[in-house]
Amino acid sequence: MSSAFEFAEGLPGGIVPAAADLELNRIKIFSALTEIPFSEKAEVTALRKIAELGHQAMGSHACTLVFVNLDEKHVEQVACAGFDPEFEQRMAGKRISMGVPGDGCFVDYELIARGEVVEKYDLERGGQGVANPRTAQRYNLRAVLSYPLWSEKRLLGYFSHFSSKLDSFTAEKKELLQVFGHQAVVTIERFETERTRERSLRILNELSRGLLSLSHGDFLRRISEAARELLSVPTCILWQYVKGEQRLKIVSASADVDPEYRRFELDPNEPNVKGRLETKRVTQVADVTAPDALYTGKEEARKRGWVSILTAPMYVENNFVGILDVYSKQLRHFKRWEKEALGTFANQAALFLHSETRVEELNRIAQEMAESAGEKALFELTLDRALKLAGASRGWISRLNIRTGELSIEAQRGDPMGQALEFGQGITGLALKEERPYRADDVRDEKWKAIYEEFWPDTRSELAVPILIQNVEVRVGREVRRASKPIGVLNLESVEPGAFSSFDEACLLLLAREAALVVEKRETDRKLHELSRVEYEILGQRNWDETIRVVLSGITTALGYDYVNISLVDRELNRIRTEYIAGIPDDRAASFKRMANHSLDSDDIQADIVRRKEPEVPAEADPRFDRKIYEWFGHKDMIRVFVPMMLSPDKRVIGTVEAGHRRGFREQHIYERDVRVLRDFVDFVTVALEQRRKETLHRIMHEFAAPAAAIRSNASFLQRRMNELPDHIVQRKFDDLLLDAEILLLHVSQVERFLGGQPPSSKPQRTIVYRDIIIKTVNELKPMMAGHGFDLAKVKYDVRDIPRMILYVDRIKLNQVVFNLLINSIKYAEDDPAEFSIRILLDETSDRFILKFKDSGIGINKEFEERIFERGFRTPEAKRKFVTGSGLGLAISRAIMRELGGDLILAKIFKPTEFHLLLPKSLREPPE
Amino acid sequence: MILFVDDELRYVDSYAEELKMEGFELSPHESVDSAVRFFDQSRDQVELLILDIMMPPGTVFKDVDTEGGLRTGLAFYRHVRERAAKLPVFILTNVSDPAVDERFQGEDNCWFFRKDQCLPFELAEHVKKLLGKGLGASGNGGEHAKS
Repeated sequence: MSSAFEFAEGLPGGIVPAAADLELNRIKIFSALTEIPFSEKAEVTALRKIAELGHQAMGSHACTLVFVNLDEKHVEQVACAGFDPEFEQRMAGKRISMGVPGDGCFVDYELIARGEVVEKYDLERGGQGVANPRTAQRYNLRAVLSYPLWSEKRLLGYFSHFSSKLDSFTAEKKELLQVFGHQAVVTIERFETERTRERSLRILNELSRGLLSLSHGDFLRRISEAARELLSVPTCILWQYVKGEQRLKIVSASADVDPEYRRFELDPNEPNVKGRLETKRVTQVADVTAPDALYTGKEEARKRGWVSILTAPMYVENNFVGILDVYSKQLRHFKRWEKEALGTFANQAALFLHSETRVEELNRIAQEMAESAGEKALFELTLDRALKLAGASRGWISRLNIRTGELSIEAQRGDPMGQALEFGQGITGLALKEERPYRADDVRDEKWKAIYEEFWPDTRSELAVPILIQNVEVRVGREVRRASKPIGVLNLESVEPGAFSSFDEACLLLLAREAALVVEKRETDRKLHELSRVEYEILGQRNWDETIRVVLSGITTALGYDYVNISLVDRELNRIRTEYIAGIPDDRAASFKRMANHSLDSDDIQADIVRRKEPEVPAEADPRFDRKIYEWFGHKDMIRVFVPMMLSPDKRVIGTVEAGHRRGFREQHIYERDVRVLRDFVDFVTVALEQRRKETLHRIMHEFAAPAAAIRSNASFLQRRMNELPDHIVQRKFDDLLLDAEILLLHVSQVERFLGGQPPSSKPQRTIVYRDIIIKTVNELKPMMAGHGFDLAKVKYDVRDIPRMILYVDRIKLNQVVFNLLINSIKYAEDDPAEFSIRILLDETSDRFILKFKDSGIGINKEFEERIFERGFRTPEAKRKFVTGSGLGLAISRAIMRELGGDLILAKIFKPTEFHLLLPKSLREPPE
Repeated sequence: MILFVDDELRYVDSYAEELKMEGFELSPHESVDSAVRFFDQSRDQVELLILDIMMPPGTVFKDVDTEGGLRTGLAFYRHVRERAAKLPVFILTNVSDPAVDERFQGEDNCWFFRKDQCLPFELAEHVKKLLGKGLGASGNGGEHAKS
């Protein structure tokens, strides 16, 4: 059997330092102590630190903190400092029963429940009602000084200082313990407030939803369960006022209320009951059994162990409808928020009890809202039904534009009069800004003068109800927090003063919440539907560039981001750099790409996302942002989410997707649901892109195999047979070898580019384009032409053009383009050799050189005239002619021409098929 | 006569030259349409078929599932087998997909050679053995056979 204060053997007694050191040490300890309630994120860690500091400050054998649960008669170990960590871990969270000492337990309930300072000696002899004597003996726990932790007259627990000596505790020790105990209370209260705030929001939201979806009995049960859960009380009773009988009867109660009590009835005119009802406020009686307590039924309460009561009278439009009571089984002083929460529950219950017909009506409307077609129809319907419920004839629903803050009118009844408002403006804007309904009984009243914005000149009363979703998850950094999501405002007006009641307000609040949820659900459904269409489109894509184009378009159009940046990891160079971008003008995108290139070991945000492997919404001016990019490209005005592109089998990150939009006046975060939708899409895209990459690499590998195998077979053939072969065959074999080597080198350069290598910088050299490139390439391709039976004489050019085109250009790059065009003309020629022809013409008449390549091949279908320049794309006709091919040639050729300051265009698609190489005339001059 | 079918004859020119120098008569075809035509007309003269796998399906196999031409050789092979069950066939290809290799392992009178593992003289040796002295169950450079 263990006790509440059980510890392992550990530290010797406190070591006494010199007085000055002691003072300095204490200052440090107190400084650290005051920060704990605000700096720690977890309650257990915070309390553990307090215990550690207490242990140091008081030179304790051990310092401990326990929570007390008087209802369930146990104490719980929360923090302990002074023993070995392993023992502390074993004890953490341990519950120890309280009762009468000697009757199977060691912790005295009566002693603990008193909530006074406990000072006990000789613990090893009998435990003194606070410890197991054997444990005390074993761990040398000889004396204890415990300070009760009270919060608003509620006993939370004890903070204790244990000594291994029997000396009396000094006054100084007692004062110190008090300081630490007080700080423990502040810390516990802070965490309790955070917890209850989140919990109460959740419970209230669920309750509101239940009002429109649960049956009568289920809803009443839910109210009592929710009140018990939120206020941590064992008992809840809901009384309904039966007007005809002038009695209050129990309509719902928690499970612990016995059948006998459920049959009780209350007389609302009985003085004690009447007294509480007349206040119309939530009130408490600290001890209902006390002789002077204003409470009827003391004996019944005593029999059931009820001590404190919190009671909320229920009124709807000044009509009394019932009472909602909660009881605790120990003395308890309820906090303000607890009173407010019970008041809210009581209002919900009142609404329900007062008008079951109206609740049924609300239920029906909620169903209609869910079935309405589109947002416009939803708002029209909501407004019509709201007007009918409140008996009004004019009103409107405005939708918030989260980028601009404008409230645009989406539905309106009554003659159009006023202008749309802005967030925070008028009663409408205020309702949304403060996230609560505003009811003005008379807008001409002085108190509304500074706020009210006239819409209709004869309006006297107004009710504005925010349409918003509370407690939505948002991503802040890498954490998920809670915030509200404003959608719009439901506004009703009347020419009569005081036209709207609190009951109307409560009903419309429910309608507005329902409308917000429907809007949110539809928005998410729309995004998912759009994305599934995009995903389907991606599945149909076979080439990389087109896949990326669909991805970028999906993120901007389906998910609504203004800006997208896809950065890819280059493991060989250990870098991450932007490869694709949307939302930046083309002329600036190139600069962006040059700048967005960082080492994977750097502190840059992209590198950090690759390392951390989780989505993040960094704060404004996060130090990991590249300062130049941040300032030059307006990122300081944007909110962005970064998602790693991770392959699931080995969690390998191949890049990042960054998506963002301009910070609206209220958009300080990105909703977690949107982050999840984007992350799922990025996961899908990552797999699809990796698949495309593998497919393309596979095709390229095959492109390598044919010329490589041919080189090998030709070399072997020559080696064995050269002496027997006539010269022209030998020559042809050497030509074949050279051509296949050229083809291999072309593929190598294509693969380099495909794998994302930076294009080599241009090395201009004086080049007679015809002689050094065109004629040379035609000669290299002779074997291929001969193989197809094509006549070399059918490749024609004008010899007078030879001296006209002498340029300072990167000869290797231009050669790659010409080689690619000519090899295509041969590969995709008609089968009949008689039809074969290639013509090369120079046009100098414009401001650029135009080198025209015309052939009489199979041509290009019009629908593919632009797509032939996409990486990986091959026309069906090309595939019919040659089964394999990487589809990279024209895409890379165009990229090369643009690097050279020119371009590659398809001028005619069929008979002749005509490609134009455009080159600036400035290339005639040698570079400076 | 050896019927030699490959859509890029330039790449197999050395094989063809080697066979010619060894005294074999060849009928090379770059399209399956002309090859099928030739085979159907001159079936009795064909002693051996040397066949590529990845080729455009042409007109003759346009309605057959050739996986976009990646398996046209297989369709050609079936066409031949239906008409000449015992004709020896050499598959000579760059296809490295093991599934293709396995597909032909169960076939009689059929041998599989990868171009990157079989030099022209090696192929000629196999042909000589087959047409002159008969071909063994295994040999050089990655081929396998079952007869």
